[in-house]
Amino acid sequence: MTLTLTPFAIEMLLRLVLILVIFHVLLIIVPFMVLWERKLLGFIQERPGPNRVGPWGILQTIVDGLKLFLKEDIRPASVDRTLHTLAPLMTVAPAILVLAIVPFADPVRITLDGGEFSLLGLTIQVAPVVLDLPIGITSLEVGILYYLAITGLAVYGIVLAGWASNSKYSLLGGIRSSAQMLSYEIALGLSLVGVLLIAGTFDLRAIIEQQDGGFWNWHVWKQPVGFLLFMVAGFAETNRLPFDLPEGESELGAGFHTEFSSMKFAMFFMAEYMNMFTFSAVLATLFLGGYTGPIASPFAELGWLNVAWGVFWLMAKIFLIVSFMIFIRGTLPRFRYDQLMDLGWKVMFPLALANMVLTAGVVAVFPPGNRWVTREEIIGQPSTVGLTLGLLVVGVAQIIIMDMILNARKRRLLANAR
Amino acid sequence: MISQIVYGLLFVLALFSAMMVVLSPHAVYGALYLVLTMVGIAALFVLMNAQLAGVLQIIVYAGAIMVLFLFVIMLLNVGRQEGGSGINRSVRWLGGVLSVAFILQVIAMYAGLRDELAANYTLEGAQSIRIDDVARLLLTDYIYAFEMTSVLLLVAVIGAVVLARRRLVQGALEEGERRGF
Amino acid sequence: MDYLAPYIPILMLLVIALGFGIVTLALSGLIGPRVITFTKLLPYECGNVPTGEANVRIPIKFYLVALLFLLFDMETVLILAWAIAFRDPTIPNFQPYAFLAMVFFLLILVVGFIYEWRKGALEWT
Repeated sequence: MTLTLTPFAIEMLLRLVLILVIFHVLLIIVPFMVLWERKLLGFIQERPGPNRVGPWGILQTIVDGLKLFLKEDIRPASVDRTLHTLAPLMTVAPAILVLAIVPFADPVRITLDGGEFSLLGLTIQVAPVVLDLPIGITSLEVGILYYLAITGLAVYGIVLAGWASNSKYSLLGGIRSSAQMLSYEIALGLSLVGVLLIAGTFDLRAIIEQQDGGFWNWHVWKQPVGFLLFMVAGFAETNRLPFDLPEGESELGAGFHTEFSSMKFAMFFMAEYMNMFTFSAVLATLFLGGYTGPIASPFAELGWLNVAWGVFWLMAKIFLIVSFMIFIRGTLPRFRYDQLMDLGWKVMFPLALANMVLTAGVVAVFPPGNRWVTREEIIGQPSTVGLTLGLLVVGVAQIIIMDMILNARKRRLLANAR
Repeated sequence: MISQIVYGLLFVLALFSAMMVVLSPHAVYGALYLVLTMVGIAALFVLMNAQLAGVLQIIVYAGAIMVLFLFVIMLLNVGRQEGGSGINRSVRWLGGVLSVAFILQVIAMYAGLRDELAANYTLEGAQSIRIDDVARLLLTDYIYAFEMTSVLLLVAVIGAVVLARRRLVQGALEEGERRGF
Repeated sequence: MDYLAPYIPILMLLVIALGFGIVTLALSGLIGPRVITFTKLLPYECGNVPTGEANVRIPIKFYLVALLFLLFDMETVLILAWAIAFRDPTIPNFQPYAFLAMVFFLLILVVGFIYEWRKGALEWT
């Protein structure tokens, strides 16, 4: 038996290896994120945090995980058994899947001479290949939309966990948190529009390349409001404090995962930290230059050192953002539910729209190519005249319509009084 | 070859879950199968090189509309205990006849168009549609449709608020009654 | 079929994610003890004896949120597509035109937003 590996098959095999590496790194990072959270919270509250298991408590969360693994899976009589098992899976799977679009570093060139070797009595022929393997799981033309789509699917896990438990706290927690996630998804999507207007593509790798060369190229300087909005919306999407209403332990037991124990609970727990990780990575990618360093990379392109440089900076940024999220947890109290919904709909949504219109206006006046347009070019053009006139009409119309809506009641009352 | 097999598998998945939407005993399971159908259709879109349509299928249908469905099911609290459908026999027969007729029609259509379809529409010949092209078309050739969408959404917003308000008032009155006012 | 290549890794990741979840859940279920007692079968209500039905009626507000989310999600999707086309350099003077197109689109939607706000659809008290 001979098996021939075509260049395409080799690329896919290498990608599979890369996926396995990234996935396992994520699995290893999660316990350390938990540990770091507990340590940092301890520091904020002037206590040592976990420090008994291993030096500096380093094995604490691993032991905790093992404990959860060996525990009994308690399942109350009234639960819906199928969905009770499916819900943790439906939460953890999207958390892993969103990682697919995160670019971790520049491509690396891999050269294989080709040849033959035998494995378990199977002769394997390898074709000679030279390929540039991008470090990351994949790169999609619809990258950001993919992120929005998969985070949108994460709602199901939570709402079904609440429903399948068939208990009051769970149901209320599930419904509450899904309403929260839905509300902030709008803000999440709209806060990205500013960046997209500047970038002109959904592809995350292309967005990073635009920011390469130094920290002054990062999109955060052009989109400070968008950055802020995206971050707040991300806090709400990952259900982190001050938006941890789904768990709200002082009001709803443990919220949607009240009736989950053992590994099923661990799945929800892991999903939360994986979501934190991916969200930080996406935030860093869109606004903070992703894997590019604060200065241009000193290493040769397509080399392993360049990859190490990229991975280092991405991890450093993720570490800072995650630490910031933990810091916020240690500092801010939880929102009340009406405050949370008010913030999402009445503050974030209008702000995101305003930011978008402003950015679009600036991009319209200073069109692509990062070239400053001369005064004559702007004033003389029919389109500019049209734009100004159009804006005037729109503004007046808006004022009239708003007046009609806002003062309709007053006018009616006045008419009645007369 | 492989893509055709994947196509067939996805097709079966989408069709099977669509059938399970009707056949599953509980409304929540039905909704979940519908989500699966949507995801299957999205994957079919991607397979036909309509990546944007695929992702939008997930964002809008699987991510938004189906969540609304689930909320409604939970809101109305339907069917955790109820078994069987309340539809009477004659309607069921009518439905059966209609579905058979529909399937026959699709088969007949396919038989008539097979050569033309096979000649013009193959997976390999799927045209590459770039996302910016779609977006540009939306803003140029289809600008009126684009603007009218916002009117449609406006009507929907007003409708939603009006409907929900009526229920809200009703709910408040009921609660008042319960408390003995 | 080149366009499908980026989706193969996603398929692999999906298999890995589901496999990981299913295997760990199954193993944990096999290894963990199972001692069924009466209290374990009751839904948890912080130690109290469970009272009443679990199927509490959900306020209509949540339904309204889901509905409004659906509508504004559609809007977001259209806006995202618009944002991608916005920098298009192939059509002369495209930006002012696209800008106006979006402002008109938004104007109508903002009316809807103000309406729902004024009608109290966003109040949670």
